[in-house]
Amino acid sequence: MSTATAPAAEDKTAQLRAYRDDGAVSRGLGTLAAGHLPPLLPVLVAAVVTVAVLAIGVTDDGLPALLAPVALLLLTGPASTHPHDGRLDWLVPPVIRAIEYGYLAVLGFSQGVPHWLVYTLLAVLVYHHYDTVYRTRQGLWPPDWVFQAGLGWDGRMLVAALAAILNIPTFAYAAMALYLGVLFGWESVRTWLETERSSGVIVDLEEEAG
Amino acid sequence: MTFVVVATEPAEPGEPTAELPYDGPVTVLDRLLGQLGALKVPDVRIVTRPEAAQVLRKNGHEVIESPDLAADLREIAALAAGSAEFFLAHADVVISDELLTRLVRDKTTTAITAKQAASGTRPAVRVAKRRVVSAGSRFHQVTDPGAVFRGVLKVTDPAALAAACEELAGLALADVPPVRVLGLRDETLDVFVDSDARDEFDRRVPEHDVLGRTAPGGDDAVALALVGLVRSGVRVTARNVDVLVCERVLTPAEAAAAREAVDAVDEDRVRLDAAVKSNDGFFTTYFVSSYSKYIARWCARLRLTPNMVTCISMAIAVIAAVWFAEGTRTGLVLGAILLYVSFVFDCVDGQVARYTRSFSTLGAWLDATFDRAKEYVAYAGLAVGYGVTHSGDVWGLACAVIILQTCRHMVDFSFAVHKGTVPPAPIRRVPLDAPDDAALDPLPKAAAVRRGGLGMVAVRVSAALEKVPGARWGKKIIILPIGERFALIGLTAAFFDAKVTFLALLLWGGVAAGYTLSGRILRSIV
Repeated sequence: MSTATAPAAEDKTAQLRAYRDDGAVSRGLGTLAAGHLPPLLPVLVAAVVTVAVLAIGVTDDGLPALLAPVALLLLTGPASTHPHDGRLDWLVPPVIRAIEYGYLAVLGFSQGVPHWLVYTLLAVLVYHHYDTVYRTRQGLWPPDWVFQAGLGWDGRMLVAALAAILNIPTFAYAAMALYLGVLFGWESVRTWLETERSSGVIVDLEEEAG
Repeated sequence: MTFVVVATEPAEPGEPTAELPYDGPVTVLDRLLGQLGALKVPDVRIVTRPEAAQVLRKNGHEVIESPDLAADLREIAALAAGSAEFFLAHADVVISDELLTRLVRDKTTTAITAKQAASGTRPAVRVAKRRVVSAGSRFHQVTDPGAVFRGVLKVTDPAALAAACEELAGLALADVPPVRVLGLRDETLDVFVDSDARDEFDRRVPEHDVLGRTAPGGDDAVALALVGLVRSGVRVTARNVDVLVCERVLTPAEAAAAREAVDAVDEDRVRLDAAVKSNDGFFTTYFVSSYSKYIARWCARLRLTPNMVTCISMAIAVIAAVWFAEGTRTGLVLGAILLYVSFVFDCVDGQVARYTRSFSTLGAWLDATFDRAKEYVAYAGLAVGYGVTHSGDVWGLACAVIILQTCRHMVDFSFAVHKGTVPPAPIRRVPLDAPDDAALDPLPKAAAVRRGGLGMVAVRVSAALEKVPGARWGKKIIILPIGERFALIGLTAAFFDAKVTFLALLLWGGVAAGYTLSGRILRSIV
């Protein structure tokens, strides 16, 4: 009975991995490591590195900040194939989110991207990440190509960093916001509208802290 | 879906209790069959004794004859074996429409129970954490029962039921006293004295002068089926009757009393009350839910679907954001008021869904997604408005708030996945031929696994806080749930400006993040 209703451990692992939202580069590094590297410690180190690098980078000429995604990838990418079954591994996806959002925000502000545009890009990403959670909970998994086409946290950070080096940050932020907004929004709304009315299942998607 | 009605109880020799008059020519059984027809239950079977079969057939019922209790159990096993969803009830049960509807819609194996002392025709059960831990019959004792089984059962695992009933039918069982006292529970039935099982929070049901007083003695295959399920390790949920009615009637006086009890309940009101989510935050409970259910009923009468209400709420939030973006005092105050109205409708959509029982996948997604959208659109509106009226710019703060809030939610989501990976403790089995349920007694203290460390301290402190008055609300308020957030946005924007709003959200949200994170990390390392 209980085994039939409780989702399998692989499903949970898949869910946490979907919450991570890795891109092609991160997944490639993960395949090399074959799931042997535990994810939590590297991601915490990566968070510290990001904060340090941004603190230096924002005041300096900006180059150190551009190295952050690379350092981050080397730390966090190899663990992307780990089953995330450690006691505290549930901390990994939120920490990755904090790093990604924080990096994009600070970089955007320091590179002179219009502030409302930074907020818009964040809103697009936030939509995608909430949508991933709500969908996996209902068994309506986003197809793999959405994660690929969405570039992953690694891809998005690398694009932002490259754009800063090439001195086209505003263009890059606008292009990403538009491209990702259309991609995530269109794919998700289409899927949800296609779902038929289900029969009396009470689903509570708003699990607030508590 | 098969619903088996057991009409083996005689009121007079050859006269089943099922044929007691309920309302003029309508018998108790007629009423139950009518209710099942209204709920579109496709397959209803009546099991009865050969001597009562004639009366039932004369009244137009098709029946299955069964000479004794063992045959009842075999019949139930055979009928259960072929069905996906199985129901079992006494034919002499008088049940409120609302309660039967809820049971039919339940997704798990569920027994209707009431929190009261065992008496008369009500077999004893022990309930903990909304699960039937031990169930009784004439042949099976229950230790320190705190509730009774009211004779209606839903089974989502009919194979387990069939196996248990087959086994029970083959046993030679002897009568035992119904209750065994070990002192696990105090006399008020309200608390477990010595058990790590936290008691159920269900309301205690008052004893009725007439109902349920009849001495037990008749064959009770339904109670035995429940015993069989519980003892073979099936998780059986206890659904408390609460203010609704579910009673077996064995005499005309009891049938009349049961009808009176059913008529005394305003079932629409009960349904409306149940439409309000029970575990909402402080602001939602006291400043919205106290009246929003009447708006929900009004929406239902206007035939508005939950999704329409969700869209109305979103539209109001967008208008609120536009007023926020204007930046003047009037704009901020109007925006705050509209944001509150939007939040009220946000609560109403779920209440309409629960009240009209119209749930949909799309609706759940729309509700959750628009909640986020409303909040983040309001932030954007506030940031624009601040730029219009001030020389500075608060987009940085707006970005910080959206990042903090999203990361807080991601912690919730991620932790929920982790919690789901911890398998529930296995249910202890009890042999079906054991007269008592001593196998469930708590282990002696020395044998209990020692648990300690910081994590356990956190769990204990949290449990202890539940007992302090007000602490339960305090624990909810500190995590800044959605109601408090919307109130904080509205109040700070109306009385101060966007900068204060964002700083307040960052401060309170930061405290909330620290509180939940530390608690959950400690719990994870137990």
